[in-house]
Amino acid sequence: MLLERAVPKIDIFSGLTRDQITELCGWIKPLTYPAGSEIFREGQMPNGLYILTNGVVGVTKVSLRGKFGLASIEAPSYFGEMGLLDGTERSAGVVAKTEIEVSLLPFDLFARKLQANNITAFRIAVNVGRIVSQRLRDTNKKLAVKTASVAGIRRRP
Amino acid sequence: MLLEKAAPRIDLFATLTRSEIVEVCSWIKPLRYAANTEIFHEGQHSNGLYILTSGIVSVKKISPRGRFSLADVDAPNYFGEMGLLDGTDRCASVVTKTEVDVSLLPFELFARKLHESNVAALRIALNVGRIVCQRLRNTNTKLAVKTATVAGIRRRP
Repeated sequence: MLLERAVPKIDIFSGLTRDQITELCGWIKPLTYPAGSEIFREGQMPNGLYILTNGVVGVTKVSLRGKFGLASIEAPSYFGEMGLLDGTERSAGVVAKTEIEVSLLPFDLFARKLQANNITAFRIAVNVGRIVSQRLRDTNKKLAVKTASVAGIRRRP
Repeated sequence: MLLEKAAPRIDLFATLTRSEIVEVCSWIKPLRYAANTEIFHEGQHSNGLYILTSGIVSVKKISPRGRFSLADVDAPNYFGEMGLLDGTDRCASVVTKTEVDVSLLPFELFARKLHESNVAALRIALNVGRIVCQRLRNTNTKLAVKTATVAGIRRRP
């Protein structure tokens, strides 16, 4: 799928005008990876947001009991969005499950655009903020359930 | 403390210019609450962001085992920031511990400013997004620990 066709289907780009989408397409770098490639590793510094235009990736995390799969992401979608806002290390790794096509929106370029008050960059950042807010609400609920569960199990004789 | 003096000390307003802060101050509504007043209730629709310029509030959440205190917030600070981005229901209640002075940045006005691509509003939204990203990372870590704890306890004979 072409980036111009994938972008309007992705929530991270909602509210962008046609001109803003064209502007965004000028910032990105298209890349192809074969199946099995590691796109980035947990703990690495973020290099940007990946827009997945073709294929499937797996999100992985390292735990005390080894590496496990968190989720699969299918095109058209995206990954690596949190690093785009806060510039903090990758909290999970991403591996290509099939051959994939991605478009990388580089972190440095995006940060420069934000600094220059670029409206397209701001719109994307606000969308990321909204998505992450929703995710935080969901995660808080899960954490409350687990906390109650730990307390409940401990109380059992 | 005046909002103009409190704002530069609050991370929510980081990177805003002096004139942008003055602009934001014109959007807000100063309010005073007596001690032990509920400012908003968990589950209520979000009416905006509260900037706490003096006093202390307590954040409370309802659990199956009653209402418990999550945290105290001391001025200069803020609360209710997640609703500013996603406009969904309050995920906790806020009650004053002392008399407090707050400045309410109304959700609808803020949403309109974002829609108009107002740079001060976009900068605040970006900061909220960054703060929420950091918080989600911390919550994910806590959730992973709790999940491992549940698994660990269950495995014990």
